Parts: sequence; C-alpha cells; structure tokens
Amino acid sequence: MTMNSSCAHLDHKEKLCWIAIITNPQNDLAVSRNPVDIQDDITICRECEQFKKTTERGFGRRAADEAVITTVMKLIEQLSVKKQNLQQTANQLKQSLEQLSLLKNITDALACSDCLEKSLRIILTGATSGDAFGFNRAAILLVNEKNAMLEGKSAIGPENNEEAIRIWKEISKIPLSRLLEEIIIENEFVSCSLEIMLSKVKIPQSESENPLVKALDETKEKIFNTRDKEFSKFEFTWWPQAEQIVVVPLICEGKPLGLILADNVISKKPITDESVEALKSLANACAPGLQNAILHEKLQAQIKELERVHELFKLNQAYLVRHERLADIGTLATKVAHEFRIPLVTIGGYARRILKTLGSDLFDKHMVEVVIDEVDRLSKITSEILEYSRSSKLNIRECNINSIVEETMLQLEEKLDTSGINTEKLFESKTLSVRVDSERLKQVILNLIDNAVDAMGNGGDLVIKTSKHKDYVILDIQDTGKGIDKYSLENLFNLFYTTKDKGSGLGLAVSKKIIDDHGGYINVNSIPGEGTVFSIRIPACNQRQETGDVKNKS
Amino acid sequence: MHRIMIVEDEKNLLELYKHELEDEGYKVISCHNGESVMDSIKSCKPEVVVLDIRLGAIEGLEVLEQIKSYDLNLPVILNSAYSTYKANFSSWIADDYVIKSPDLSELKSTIKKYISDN
Repeated sequence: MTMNSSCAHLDHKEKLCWIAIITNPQNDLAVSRNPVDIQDDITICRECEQFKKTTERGFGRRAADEAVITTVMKLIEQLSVKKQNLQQTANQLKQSLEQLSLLKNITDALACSDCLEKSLRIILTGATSGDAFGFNRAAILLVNEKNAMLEGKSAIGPENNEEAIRIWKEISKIPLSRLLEEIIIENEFVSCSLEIMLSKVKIPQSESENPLVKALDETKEKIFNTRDKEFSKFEFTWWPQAEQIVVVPLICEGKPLGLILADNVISKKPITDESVEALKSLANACAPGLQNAILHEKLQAQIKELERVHELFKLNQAYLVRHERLADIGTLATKVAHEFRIPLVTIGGYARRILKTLGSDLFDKHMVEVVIDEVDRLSKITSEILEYSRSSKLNIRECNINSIVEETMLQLEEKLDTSGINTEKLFESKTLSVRVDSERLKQVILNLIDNAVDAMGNGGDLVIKTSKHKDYVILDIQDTGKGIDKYSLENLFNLFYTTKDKGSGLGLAVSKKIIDDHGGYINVNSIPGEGTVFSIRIPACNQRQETGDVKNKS
Repeated sequence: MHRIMIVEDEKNLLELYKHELEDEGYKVISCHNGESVMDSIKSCKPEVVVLDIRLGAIEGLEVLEQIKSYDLNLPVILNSAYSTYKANFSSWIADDYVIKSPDLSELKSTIKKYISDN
C-alpha cells in the first residue's frame, strides 16, 4: 500500500482513500483488497468531507462509477482464477483420497495374509495394478539377516507385449480389491519367468557400490537409467530389457527390510516424480505389514523346528522306555538262562546215559534222542542269551583276520563237506591286522557261515572274502541261498527275530553286538532267490603299528 | 584203579559224573563243597581233580589256588558252565578247561589225557 492511497484526510492510516482510487482507476489496490475491508473503507470515506466534495462533482461521480466497475471486473477475474485453483486442489485431494483408499485396500489385504509369499504378492499386485500404481513390472528383494544378502523373493510382470496386452485386458476390468481377495484365498501361486530368474538373485550387502545395496543403505528411493555407468557395472540380467527403473526401500521402524523395484518396460512411460512418490507411499504403508509377515514366517519356521524337536523327543522317550523294558527283559532272560543251564546239562547227561544203557527197542531210543535234541536246543539258546547279556569286556589282541577265518572254517569243515557246498576263499594276500577278541569274532563268523549253510539247503556256493578299504578290514560272507525278504532284512538284527523253525532269534543279534563292541559294522545285502552277502567291517590296526609289523618280519 | 576227584555242588550232576566215570573204570571221589576238598585230597590222593568254578561259599578259583599250593603237579581240570572264566587270569594255573555239557565225551577225553600222561 502506497502512501498516496492511504487515507490522508481522516486519521485512518490503514484504510484506503477512495479519492485516490477514483482519480487513478488503474490502481490495483482496491482489487487486492478484501471486499469487507472495501465496505469499511467506503463507510469511512462517506464521512470524509473531501470525498463528499469529490463525488458531488460531475467528473468525480463518473470516475467513481468507473473505478467501481473496473474493480468488480477485476474481482470477478480473480475469483475465476481462485476457483480454478480450488478445483485443482480438489482434484488432487480426490486423487490422494483414492490412493489412500487403495493403500487401505492393500494394507487390509496384508493384514489378512497368512504367509510371506501372499504378502509379497499383495504388495506387487498393488504396484502393478492399473487401478492403483500402474507399473508394468515390479519385484521385491528382501534382506536375509543370516547371510547379509539381498535376496530376490517375488516378482510380477508380463513376459512380452502380447501377454501384457492380454493381461491388461483381463485384469483392467477387475477392481484391485477383488484381485487382492483372490490372492488371500489362493493357496498356490504360479511363478512367472521373471520371478524364477529373480529367485536366484543374491546380492551381498557388502557390495556397497551396487546401486540396489546403495539405495538400501541410504534408505532413499532412486531412479536408475540402466545405461548409466553406475548401473551397467553390475549384472542385472535377471531384470531384462529394462531402461529406467525405480527402486524404493521398504523400511519399518528405521530398519531396512528390502526393496521394491519397478519399471514401465512395456508402455515405455517415463517414471515421473509423482509415480515415485506414489510407490514410496505404497512402500511406507506396506512395510509394517511386511515386517509382520516376515516375523510370522520366522515364527512358523521356529514352530516347525520346535515340532520337529518335540517329535524327536517323543521318539527318544519311546526309545528309552523300550530300551529300559528290553534291559529288564534282558536281566530276566539272563537270570532264567543261568538257572536253566545246570539242570539242562544234568537232564541231557542223564538222557545220554539212558540211551547208552537202553536195550535195542528203536522206539524207546527215538524218544530219548528227542529229549537229547531238545535239551541241546535249549542249551544253545541259554548260551546265546548269556552271550548276549554278557558284559562287552573284550579280550583284545592283535590278530590277522585271515587266520581267524581259516581257524573257524576248520571247525566247520565237516559240516560244509556233507552239505554239498562249494567253498571259495578269496583272501587278501597281505596280512590284515585287526585288534579283536578272536574267540568272539570266531563266534560271529561261525554264526554267519552256519546261517549261509542253512540258507543253501540244496547246496550252493559259499564265497568268503577278506579285503581292506581305507581304515577298515572287510570280511564278506556270500551265499547262493534262498535270500532274505525285505521285511526280514529290516528286522534281521533284532533280538528274538527269527525266520528259522528252531531259531532263537539271538544269533545275529549277538553277532551284531560283538561287531558293535569292536567299533565295527555289520551289513547285509540280499536278493530273494539269488543269495545274501553279510559284510563285516572292523577298524584296521593303524598304519604305524602295521609298518612296525612289517619291519619285524623283514 | 585211577582215582578221580569231582568237586561239584549240584548233587544231581555230581551223581551223573560219578556214574559215567565209574563206567569208564575210575574210582570217583565226590566232593559237593569247596571246604572239604583239601581234606579229601590229603586222605584219598586223587590223580586228577575236576573242579567246578561256582561252588557257593568258597569259590572254585580259591580252591584251585589251595590245591596248586599244596601240590603243583596235581592236574586240575576246571569245569564250568561258562567260557567267561577262561579270560580270568587266576584260572590259568589250572591244567585244562572244559565247558559243562550234557555230552561228557570231552570231559572224559580230557581226564584220559592226564591219566595216560602219568
């Protein structure tokens, strides 16, 4: 306000002097003035003697009219500009409101999501839906805290222009809320090729020059041109044909969770500041929901782990109970066997004596022979039970396994000869030193050969092979017998499991225990109808001892 | 007639041994506990002793030591239901070890070994 225009006649410095305005109709002061103030001005002017004089004169009157008309015209003009501005603001507000409502749709959907995969898809659908943020393709990479990697997780995008058009036609009619609902009820998702490529992406967070890591570190959105030097240095083959990419970090409570990456590869529409702002608001709105989904996923994994541990615990408990029960049975069996042992020797001894003193009646003889046989069988079982429950104290000495096998086979010579079995010995020519209780090992070999002979009722080939592999000496006992079926194979070494009519189910259990006590393994392979191989592995004497042996010999 | 001493606390088994060994033509001196062994040896002078290891109050191995400290050259055959004692060092001063079996032929042949040796 110039001094010229302020009221000079009365004492109202802040009021306009309408004499000044009338005499100079070009003056804009009146137009910029609030209409209420103009009314005020004029009320004061009416009391002004100078004003009265001026407006009473012919020229003054006209000039006053013109001034009013100009002022009104200008006011109208200004109002229309203001209206336009208002309209624009209203439109902007409406847009923001729409965006907010879309964001609400998306965050509501996130709240309903029950897994991370769904949550990621909800966010990406928001980013790419024409309804909402309208990018052609979008992807999410998440930080894996365990290995400090930025890992590709989920992506949405058409393979090519044709697909883009088809999808756009199909989807453009469906409102975003429907699309999101479909994701929530969906159980399985088909990965697009983009997602498959992305799933292999792992960028170390230490690669600080990588534009994606940089955006994450600086927690600031960025637009990249793929032709930029900064960008072309790094491999982005997993995001093909890109020209301009926007990257927005996903941040929750100051912690970077990952990135949203988006572009307009199909439409080639340049990425505007507005669309970046929109994507940013999407990222900000979704980050807490995403954080929940990540935590939920972690929790689920932990629950699974706990369930697994619980199962294991239950299993172990069952095993312990079973073990304890078996131990009780074992103690009982040992006691029974102990008590039976001497009476059985006595009964058997007397039965033999009766047989010796008996006359020539064949039937009487047969009856006594049955007693002798059955007592022998019981004797054998009691021996095996006692053997099984015997303490695992071993009388260890260094032996050559070949000699042990030879000695054992000598004991079986007669049995092998009479049962029509061809025996082949494939012994390793070198001395195979093992530290074993030779009596116990003989017992195992005896048992295995016995079984092999039983399995080859009508004769066959028995191959006994010794060899050395790495730190183990191996003894294979192979027969061409009837073989063992799958069920029996699984139970073969179990206590009291037997397939023989008169078996005790102790022989192999005892054998396994003896080999276990030696720190070795016993394995079996069998093909029903073709034959069986039992393999025993026993730790070989260590190298130093062995070379010592050789030196002594030479 | 060769004299064999049997030390066995199971009476039925002792009786069986006695009959069987008498059939073989031996004079059998029976002893059903460890305490009376030394007195019997001194009075009857057996040529071979068949000794059970588990004898109740006095363990067979203790008796074995008493016999061997009295006469180191008197053959003692340990007779047990178990092979486990074979690993026991104190059983090694015995001359032989036969596991109890309804078939007495091994025991008989072992006894014979020590008789014919004399």
